[in-house]
Amino acid sequence: MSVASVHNLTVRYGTKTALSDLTLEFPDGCVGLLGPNGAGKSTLLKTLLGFLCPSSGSGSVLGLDIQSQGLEIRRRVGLMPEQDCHIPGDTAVSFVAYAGELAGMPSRRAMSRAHEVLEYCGLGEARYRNVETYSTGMKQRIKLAQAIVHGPKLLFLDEPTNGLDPAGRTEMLRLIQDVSHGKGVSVIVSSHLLHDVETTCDRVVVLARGRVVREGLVRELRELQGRQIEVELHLPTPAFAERAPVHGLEIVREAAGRYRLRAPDDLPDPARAVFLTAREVGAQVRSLQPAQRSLQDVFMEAIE
Amino acid sequence: MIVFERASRWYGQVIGVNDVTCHIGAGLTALLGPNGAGKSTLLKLLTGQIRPTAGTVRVFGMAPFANPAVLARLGYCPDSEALYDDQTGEEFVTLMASLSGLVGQERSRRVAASIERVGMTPHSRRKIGGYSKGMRQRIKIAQALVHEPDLLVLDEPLNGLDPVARHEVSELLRHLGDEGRCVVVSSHILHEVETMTRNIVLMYRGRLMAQGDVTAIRALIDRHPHRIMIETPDARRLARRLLELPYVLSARLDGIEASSVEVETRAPETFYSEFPAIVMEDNFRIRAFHSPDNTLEAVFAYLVGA
Amino acid sequence: MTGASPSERSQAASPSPAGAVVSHVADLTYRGYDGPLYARSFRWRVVALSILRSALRKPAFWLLAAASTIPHLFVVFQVFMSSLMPAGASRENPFLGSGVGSKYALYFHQAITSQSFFWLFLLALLVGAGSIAADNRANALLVYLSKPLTKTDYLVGKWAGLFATLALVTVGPALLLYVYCLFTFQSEGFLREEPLLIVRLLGAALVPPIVHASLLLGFSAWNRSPAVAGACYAGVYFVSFVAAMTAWGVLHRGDFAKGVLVRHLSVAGAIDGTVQNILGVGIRVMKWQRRQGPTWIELQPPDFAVVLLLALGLAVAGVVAARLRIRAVEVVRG
Repeated sequence: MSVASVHNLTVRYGTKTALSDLTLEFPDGCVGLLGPNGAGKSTLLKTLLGFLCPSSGSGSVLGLDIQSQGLEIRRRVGLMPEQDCHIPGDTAVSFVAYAGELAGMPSRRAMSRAHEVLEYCGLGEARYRNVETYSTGMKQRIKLAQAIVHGPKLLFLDEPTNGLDPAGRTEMLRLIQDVSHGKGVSVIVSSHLLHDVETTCDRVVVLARGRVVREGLVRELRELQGRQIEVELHLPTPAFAERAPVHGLEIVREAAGRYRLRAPDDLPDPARAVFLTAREVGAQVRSLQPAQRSLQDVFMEAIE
Repeated sequence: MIVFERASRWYGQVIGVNDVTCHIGAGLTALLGPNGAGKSTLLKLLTGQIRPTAGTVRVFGMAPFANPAVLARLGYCPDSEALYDDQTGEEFVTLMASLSGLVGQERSRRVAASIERVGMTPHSRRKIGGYSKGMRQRIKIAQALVHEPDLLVLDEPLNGLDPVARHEVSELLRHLGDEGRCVVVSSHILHEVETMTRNIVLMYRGRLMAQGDVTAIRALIDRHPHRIMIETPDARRLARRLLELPYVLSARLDGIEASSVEVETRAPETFYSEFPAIVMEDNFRIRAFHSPDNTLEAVFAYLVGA
Repeated sequence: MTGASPSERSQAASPSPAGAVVSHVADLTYRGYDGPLYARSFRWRVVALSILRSALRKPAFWLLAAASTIPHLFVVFQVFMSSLMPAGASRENPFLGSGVGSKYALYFHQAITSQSFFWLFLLALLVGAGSIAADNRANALLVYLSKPLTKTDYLVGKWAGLFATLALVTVGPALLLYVYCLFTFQSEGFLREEPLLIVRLLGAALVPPIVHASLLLGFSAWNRSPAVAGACYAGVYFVSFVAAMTAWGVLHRGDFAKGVLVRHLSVAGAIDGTVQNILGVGIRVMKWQRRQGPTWIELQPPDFAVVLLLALGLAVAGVVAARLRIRAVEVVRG
């Protein structure tokens, strides 16, 4: 079920053609939107929200046409922008409640919903303080809060973990994961931090030079051909690489104590083979995991 | 190259850094810590923007505050995004190079080389006002590199960069560290820091919490036993077997349909040595095993208590 | 928000005797909003109300609003004084109503114009300088326009909020003054003489808010700092006033009564001129001559069409300027 789609979309930005003849469907769930700078990610988001007018082609968000039903779309969609933004005035609660009222909520409901949403985003007593005194982490949370206050069915998150410290990042990713699974809300995350996208999103779409160059389930994209294992030894031991083929393992790559091995399909227990090899050369195995391509590798290959 | 000796800095009553003693030498060192830990104060002390209220700070053996001798060998890439919007990238880097005393042919050569190194050559003739966030970041790094400094201080250098640029810049920083320069990088993205260096300085609430190699630090944290996660279809049987070992403290299954078991031990060395033998002896089929503990994120979480 | 949320179990106690308590643990995690959402036309009212609310919250607003009734109180004082004077006292005393037109209209003109020139101007600065400038600085437009709001809604809301706030301050005291005059002069044929005075009064009271609000909106939209926006408007306001007055004094040294239009070619002048015309009054100025001493010259109201056009033109210019400047997203060129 797709939440947003574009067909043959062309968008010109000044003299530059940012998106050319783009056809793409965003499925529901948590989707990562990736791409190098200048690929057209923000242009795509802006066009879907109705900020930019396409030169040709069409698109729809939640079944509504982007060119004629922009306002309806924005009623059902929440945007968490990358840039710092807030409405000057005062406290976080009043800001989020105001955002809710702008979306059309009656003011009482907006206030109660603002409290609910701020609680969900992890702002406790701090919600009664002036927004301008907030740290980066709190500002990010308020941006998320104002995006979800009116109960949108689709969320656009632009660099949601920007500027957050490790604890804040973990918390934000947890929130995103929570919202997008089982709550009836679809999320499109645009981020440069592939590690975050890897852990949060089920699917990714990679844009480059205004076109889609890769899309699919994260799990599938990361799969490697053949059974490959990543082994880490306590200390780098050259003898390990020499001995491995004896037990049926093929070395694919090695770097400073980390080995990528390929095990043939007919080898019943690759772990056993690794342990035997290690015992014979006197190495200590510290970790053994099925190798996956990192999203970084997928990305690099896709935009080549 | 950098020596903090019981350095402290207050802002009125608010503590910036409190009694920090540490030595930072050549190579890439990562400066980590939650927000408000004192990282920016530490960087300001390092780059000579402020003076310590107590203790001393020495860079290249001298106090860096308003000291041109130190600043000439220092390259600083701050995290603020304010730049001169109506200059072109090239003009800006040239200006910075001039401030470091470079002139003429040498200056133009170095400016071009520095811009090339960050991959901004096609955009260097455009005004900074039209730059995207990533481009601004790269031009900032270029100006920090232009005079070939011995000490490079970068505050969130990867901010705003797309994955390709992140990879390139991390590689660049790693090489600069390997070349023998002292590179100090402050960052929140632990996953990336991990790929750049194993050497960290961790600040927390103004105090120096930990310093050194990540694995060594992990070994020193004995408040938390080491966790090892083992994936096997036979998890319950393996758990029973492992609990027979004297150095295994606990074994936790991940659910009724157990497909993995997580053990805790205070003697990881012993565990790793004996584990393969146990597996082969009792014929367990291991799909995977690793220690979720050994990452920078885990060490950080343990130390900072997040 | 830490850790796991309580699960969604709602368990009744197992077959329990009547009256037993049903236990449950609430699910306090995120839930969607399925309540009513108003139609689009409501949005500008939200924006307008927020301006009004933030104005009413400022203590300076109340201070200035109170101070801005000084002209009205002065008129009350004048009325009181004139009631003490013997009947038929000359109109030469400048403090007891002066100028062309009906006495009452003159009072209202005096109240409205002096209020507008200084007090309302200050109030407008207080409330309006930051109306869009603060949003620019905080990048708030990104929030506004990502909601179902158009730029027009935003602008109309801002204008309406500013206008309403200022109109409260002009119309309120003016109406109270009218009621006071009604009671004081009822026997003297207050209503009989000019039944339409109330209509003209309201019209006149609305002119300053319209002009101040629109112009200030324009200045605010083109700045990122409320202080600078306010300073720009103040500069334009005073410089135009001084320039117009000087030009009039210089050009028509000989005969002040002629060329009265020149005097009104400024923001303050346009407002004053329009108010004069609506109320049908002219004013008196004192001219000091070396030999003859002070004389009073009566000035007719300036050409209605011109000042009205000027006032409306300024208002429209302000709004259009604001509209041109509102942008949600920066277009990266090249």
